[in-house]
Formats: sequence, structure tokens, C-alpha cells
Amino acid sequence: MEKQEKLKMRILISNIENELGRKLAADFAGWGFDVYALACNKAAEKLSGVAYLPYDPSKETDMEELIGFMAAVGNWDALVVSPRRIQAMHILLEDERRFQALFDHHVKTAFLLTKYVGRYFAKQGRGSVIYIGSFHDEKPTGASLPFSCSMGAIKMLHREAAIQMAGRGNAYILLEVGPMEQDVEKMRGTISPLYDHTKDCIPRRELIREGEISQTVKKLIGDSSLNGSEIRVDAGFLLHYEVRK
Amino acid sequence: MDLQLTGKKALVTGSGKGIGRGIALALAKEGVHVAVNYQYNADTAKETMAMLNQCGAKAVLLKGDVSSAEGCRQLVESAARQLGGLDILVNNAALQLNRRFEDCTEENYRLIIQTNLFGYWNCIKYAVPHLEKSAGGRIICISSVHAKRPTGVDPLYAMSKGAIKMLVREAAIRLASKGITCNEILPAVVDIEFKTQVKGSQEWNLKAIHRDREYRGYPVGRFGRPEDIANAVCYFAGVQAEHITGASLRIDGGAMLV
Repeated sequence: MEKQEKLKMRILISNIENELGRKLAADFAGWGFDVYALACNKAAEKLSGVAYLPYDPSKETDMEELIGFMAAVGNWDALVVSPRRIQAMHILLEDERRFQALFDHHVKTAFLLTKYVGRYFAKQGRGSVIYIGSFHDEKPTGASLPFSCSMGAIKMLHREAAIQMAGRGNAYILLEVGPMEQDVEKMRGTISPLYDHTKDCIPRRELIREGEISQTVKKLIGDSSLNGSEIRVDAGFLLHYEVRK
Repeated sequence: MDLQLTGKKALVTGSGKGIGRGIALALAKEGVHVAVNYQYNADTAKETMAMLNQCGAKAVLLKGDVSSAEGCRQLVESAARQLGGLDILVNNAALQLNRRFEDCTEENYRLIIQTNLFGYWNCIKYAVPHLEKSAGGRIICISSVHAKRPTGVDPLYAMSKGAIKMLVREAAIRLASKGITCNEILPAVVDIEFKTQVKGSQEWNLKAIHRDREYRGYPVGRFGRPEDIANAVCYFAGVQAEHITGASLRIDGGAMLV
């Protein structure tokens, strides 16, 4: 019964220009979900079974139009907030504009989506918002200042939303994703040894796979008792991060 | 405890009043030469300067806006030039709008993030060349318990503090090799209305009922005071704290525990 209900679910994914977002969209489409993705990035790869919505989550005017569209379609179950752009930039680099752009890519879009879609979900009386965060909301990268600052901000956005926006049938959930294959090279070779022996620090000796995030998100949708939860999806990595081999 | 701060030079942003004033005063009492920064209220900043002068401290007054990179650059360079160097940066100037999700605009987002996050980052960035010439440079960021606990009324403020937490940690590991530490202090409510702290005053009586109710959330029985925060700043600035970096010190009278 539960499986049948989930197959009918309607889900909006914010960012599909990154590998994780694309995998989320593809997996949910493959599982029979009604999947929509924001495709303000025209270069975004087209996926079968995914409907693209031409709204830019960094603009309030576009968010108002998005809500108009969502209201017309009706019966939404989840928003997955999935910005993920990791670029090397340390604290003494001069480039403020790049820092701002990277921060806004993650935080401003997450904030506006929360404000608008959250209000719609509250009115609808159901809907889960799941943020694809990172364990770098607590652990510095040593490599990407914008990414860790963004993750720290999204963690607090999630907590604020969980107490301000969540009504009956709503849940705001944060996934603190552990190291993934595509992250390792971007993070390695910096002042932090965190990514030197990443696999060795994961008990199963495998990095986190995108498909595991999709599975986790699927399990979480629709359970309002999980509102405010922060779930680390890292296969035990952080338990070992002090290990030096 | 001798913190060995005599003769050190510090810039305290947003020190014309409130917590910043308390920090400037405490540092001055330890013999630190202080650059006092304000943006709007010259009168309160001059009061701060008068208090510092009473301590016999060398102090300079600098008007400056930390919400722009150029404002931060000018502020830091002026402080270093007029004090003859810089050993301590206290990032304190910040904004809080108290707007709920519904009332927050893109403009509010830009203002809060630019001031609270980028203001701190820019001051750090421009201060580092001076701090690394010091025998033990110190960066101390005044944040908030709302880097951890949601406000319930002000998402942008909490988001900026969550970002500052990571800025401090990134700075700590990046700057350690330069002999610079970077730590943050997380105050809860700090009573900066000095008049209301005088027991029996009209202001005290007016707020008594409100205070009694609010104090229940503070196991120590009172809100914080600027000197509570300032004492911790002095410790982080002192020689005894040279092995402390990337730390977040909650100063809240136990409020986060109840």
C-alpha cells in the first residue's frame, strides 16, 4: 500500500545541473514519481521522465510564478533542494564576486525556495522539504570556503524553517552528505588531510554513492515526525575523521 | 593572569556602543591600543573614546562601513596605519533585522549576508597581512547562539551566523601556519541598555516583569553583559590562548541548556 502511494508522488528538484541532482531526478523518474526540475540552466542535461520548469530559484519573481504553476497542478509531496557546486577557493583569495556567486547559488536559492514553496506546502497541509547538505556544515574543507559557508548557512535555514514554516503534514529535513567520488579530487591536496585517505576512514571502504542519497530521500518523504531532523549520510566517515594513516 | 596584551594593537568593528564598546574597554584596560569603529552614531562612539581615554589607552576613532569590501579595506588599513600595526581583529559589527520568512526580501538577504558574512570575511582578508607580522595574530569573531539554535523569528540572521561558524573554522586551519588564531564567541541576549541595569531606576522597574519572565530561560539569573563577552575576547587575544583556534565559545548563562 505504502509503495503504491509513493509511486504517485509528485516531487520538485531544484538543481539538476550537478551530478547528484541529475541522479536524484533520474532515480525518482525511474521509480514512477511525477518529477519536475527547475531548469534555469539551459545546459542542463535533459532526462527522460523529468519535466523541466523554466524558473530561476534565485529570483523572487520567478518563485511567484513557480508557485502559481504548482498551485495549478496541485498535490505536491516534496521539494528537494539540491545545489552543489564545489570550487576551490580559500580564505585569502581576493575574488569577492565569485564567493558571492557561489554562496548565492546555494543559499539564496535555498532560502527563496523555502520561503515560497514552504508557504505553499503549509497551505496545502502536506509536503516535505529535503535539503541536500553536507558534513561540511560543521567540518571545514580547507579547500572551498564558499561551499562550507554555504552549508553552514543552509543548516540554519533548515532549522529556522523547521520551526517557522512547518505546519501539519510538513517536514523539513537536512541530509548531511558524506564524501562522494566527485568531491574527492576537488578537495584533496589542501591543508586539511581529510581527503587524503577518505575511503580508509569509511568502514565499508566505499564512498557515498548518488543512488544512496536518492534512496534516503525516498524513505523520508511524507513523514512529518521527522521535521527538523538532520541525518548524516556518510557511512560512518565522520566517526573516523581523526584517523591519520 | 597576565594576558601579556600591553602594547598590542586591536581593531574592534562596531565598537561605538554595546558589546563592541565593552570589548574595546576591556582590551584598553589590558593595555591594548584600540581602533574604535562606528558607522552611524558619532555621539556614542565619542563616548566610547572618552571612556578609553580615561583608561589612559591610546585609541583612534574610525568611521567605516563593513558592508562593502572597500569599506573593510579602508578601515583595516587606517587602523593599522594609525596604530602602527595590528595584532588583534575583533569582528563585531553586524546587523539583525528580526524579519520572519514572510517578510524577508531579496534586499534583506543581500544586506544581512553582505554585512554579517562578507563584512567579517573582508576584514579578515585585509587584516591578515598585518596580523602575520605580529607575534601571535588574533582574530575573534562575535557571532551568536543562533549559529546553532534557530531564532524562530529571523532566518537570515541565523543563516549568516551559521556561515560565520564555517568562516571561522576555515580561517582557523588556513591561517594557523601564519601564527594567527581564529575563534568565535556565541553570546545569547546581551543587555546593552546600561540604564536598565541600575537596580531601582525607572527603566529597571518598567522592565521588571518582562525581565523576570525572560530570566527563567537563563539559569544564572540574568542576561549577558558586554563585559561577559569582553572578558572572553581578552582571553582569546592573550598569550595563554595561543593553542586555541577554530573554537566556538558559548557565553549565554546556560540559556542553551534549558
